[in-house]
Amino acid sequence: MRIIACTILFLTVLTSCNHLRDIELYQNQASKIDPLESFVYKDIFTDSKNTKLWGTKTNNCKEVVFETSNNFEGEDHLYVKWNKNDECKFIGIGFPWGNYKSKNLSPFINSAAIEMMIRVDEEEKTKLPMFFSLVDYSGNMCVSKINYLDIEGGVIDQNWTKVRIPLQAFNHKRKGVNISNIKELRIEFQQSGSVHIDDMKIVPHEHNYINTDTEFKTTYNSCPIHIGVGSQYWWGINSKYSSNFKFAPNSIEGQSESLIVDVDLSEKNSWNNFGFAFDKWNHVDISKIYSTSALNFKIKSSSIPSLQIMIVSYKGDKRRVQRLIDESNYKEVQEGVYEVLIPIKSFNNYQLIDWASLKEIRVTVKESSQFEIGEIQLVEFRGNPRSPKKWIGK
Amino acid sequence: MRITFLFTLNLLFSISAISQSSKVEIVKSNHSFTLLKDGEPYYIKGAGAKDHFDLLESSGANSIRIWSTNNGHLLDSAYNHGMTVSLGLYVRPERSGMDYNDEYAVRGQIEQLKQEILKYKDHPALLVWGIGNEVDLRYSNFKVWDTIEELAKFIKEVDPNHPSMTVIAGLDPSKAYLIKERCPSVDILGLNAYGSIENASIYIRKYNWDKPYIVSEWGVNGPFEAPRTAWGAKVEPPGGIKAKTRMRRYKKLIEEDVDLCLGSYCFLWGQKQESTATWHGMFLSDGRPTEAIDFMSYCWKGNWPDSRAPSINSIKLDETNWKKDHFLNPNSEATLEIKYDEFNNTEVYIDYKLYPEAFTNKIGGDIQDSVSEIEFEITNNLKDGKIIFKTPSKPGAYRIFAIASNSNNQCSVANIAFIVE
Repeated sequence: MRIIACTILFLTVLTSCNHLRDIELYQNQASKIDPLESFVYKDIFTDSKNTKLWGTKTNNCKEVVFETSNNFEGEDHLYVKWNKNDECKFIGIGFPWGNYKSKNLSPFINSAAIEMMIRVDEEEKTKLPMFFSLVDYSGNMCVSKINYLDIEGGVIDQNWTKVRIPLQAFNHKRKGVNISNIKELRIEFQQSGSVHIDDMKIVPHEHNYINTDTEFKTTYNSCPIHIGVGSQYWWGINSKYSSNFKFAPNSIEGQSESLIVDVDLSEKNSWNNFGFAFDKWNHVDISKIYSTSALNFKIKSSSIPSLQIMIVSYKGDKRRVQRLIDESNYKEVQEGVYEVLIPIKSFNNYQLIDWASLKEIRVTVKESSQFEIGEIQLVEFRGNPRSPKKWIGK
Repeated sequence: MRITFLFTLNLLFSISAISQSSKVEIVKSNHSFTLLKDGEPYYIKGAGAKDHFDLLESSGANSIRIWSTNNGHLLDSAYNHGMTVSLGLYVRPERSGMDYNDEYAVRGQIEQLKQEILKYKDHPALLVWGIGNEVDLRYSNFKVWDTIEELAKFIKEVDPNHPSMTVIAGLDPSKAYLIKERCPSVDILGLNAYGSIENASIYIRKYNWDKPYIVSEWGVNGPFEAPRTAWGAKVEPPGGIKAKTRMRRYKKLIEEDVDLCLGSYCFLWGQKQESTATWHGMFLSDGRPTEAIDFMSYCWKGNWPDSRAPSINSIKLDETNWKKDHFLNPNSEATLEIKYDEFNNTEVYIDYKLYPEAFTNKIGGDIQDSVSEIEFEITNNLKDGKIIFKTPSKPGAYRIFAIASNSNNQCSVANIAFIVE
């Protein structure tokens, strides 16, 4: 009997052990709680009885009505009709959303959306000129709008349609909005239109889109830099219309193109300028080295050609600096071959252009001439900008 | 039974509309391009327009350009006036806050615009698609061209009857290269060219653009290109000078590029505030047409309309012309004088209006707010375009307008900026 009792007891303990849960010493109980589940301000608008709004006064630009028929939820719904004109700078309404209590959206910023039901009186719409803003307690706001991808069925018509705006789509970080201290939601209406809105709330939402960080920018922090590499990044060379400029056949990969120039300015409409990208038309940043740099290239010619060089940037109030190069810039390195050195500091007002966003170099041939130009680069230059030939430290 | 009848009628109408949809194509011969509409050469004599279609039609235009499908109903209006439409697909520019690294925003915009393409592709007034307008203005993210290409490619798939164009804010070698490389499905380059139109036909070749182009907006030099007074007000030429500039540019620059240019859309067959209320608009805000209409009619038809607007060629304030800075004392008297061509008008009425200067930092075609008129006193109307008026008592920047009109309400406007200090 005792043996049977012991056996039963043993089996009972063994079975119980089978049901024991693994437990870690410092298990985080909070991680098991859905942050949105515990968020008490999920409802943004249900009806006029339960939700307060501002901006509901009708004026010459907008009409706001709580319609009691054909609601999606609650006793009424919101109807807004607007027409932006000179009489109103801003047409909008605001949702105090939890009576202006501070709302922390950060725990579910990547997994929730504002959802609402929407319908229009006529036609089918794939977009509406409505801009939604989350406003924090510092007055900063981030804006989003209804994206076609989150209109259920892809069209807003006379039936209630579910639309969502993922919280991520507000890009709050970019606008410096404190997403853990949100005061209210606003809707700004632009152009003209009308819309019925009901049952606006925060819901779980999976958002499967990313923001990339693609930049079309090249940064150089040291010289030398080969520029004018790749004939496709040059302009002014088009044999259909002009034979004044031709690429020399002896280009070396990774090095600047060489150009054969034969300009006769006595001919009518003779082409006399060309240009090339700093680097594949990217924004080129040489802001750390421009003041100790010079433009450098070789010219093969029986005489020194008259050239105007222009450096062009993408941005800034002043976007180009230019100068005529003169004899002080030319140094004959062998018979009929000149090395040209143009210190950046020798360009008038060189400080005024944006050296972090350079676009191209343009060359204008000012007098009829024949020459070959190539081996274009930016080199280090720490000499006197007015006497570039004396700089020997290259 | 009635429903069946209506359904059948609707179906027949739809089929009829589809059958009326034009086939528009571009044919290349050696180095030149021709736009064909239903097999016939079609040179675009167009305007950026939202209304005044009767006058546009009678002036000899054959096409309008609209900037987005928000105004899709204008396709019907144009069709009813026998005109075609360059229909814009509004691609949000970076400067409006669009982030082309934001895949959600990018994909949503593309899918939404595809719906617009499907909606309008069979409209009989459709001539070309204009994908984006000035998306290149102050942009830095070249990925916008990928959106343009995806839409152009989609058009090729679903609407082979209409070519696509993308419209840029002035020509530039980087844009020509990037569009050529990243948007191979785009058929036509649209050029919004104001001052830069003077050299556009040469530079489009220098920049190696090897497809046709349309001058999608052109007119007088824009406010962004205008000289400024010492206090930053932009100097606007009188209406007569602007109208003559339009005619020269059309005749000498646009029409003469027969190889690459498929036509043009003048800007603006309507009115809009852009630094002033009269800079680009060929109509006043009250709907009255200016002499620019007559000059465009001459460009398109080759003859002048029977009734011509008067045309102001000069405006002076205290004997100093409109190109100079004008500093006036508060509450003092100043003399404003205009010179104008009467043409065939027996009577010309002249009206004057005063406004505060409308400074703005908006760029491109972005919407600007209008300013409100200020009451002022004309102390002596010396007739024939000369008045003595009292300057405002409050220091500030102002602009005074003179409007000369005939009995048909055709008019001409000139203004002069001044500062009271």
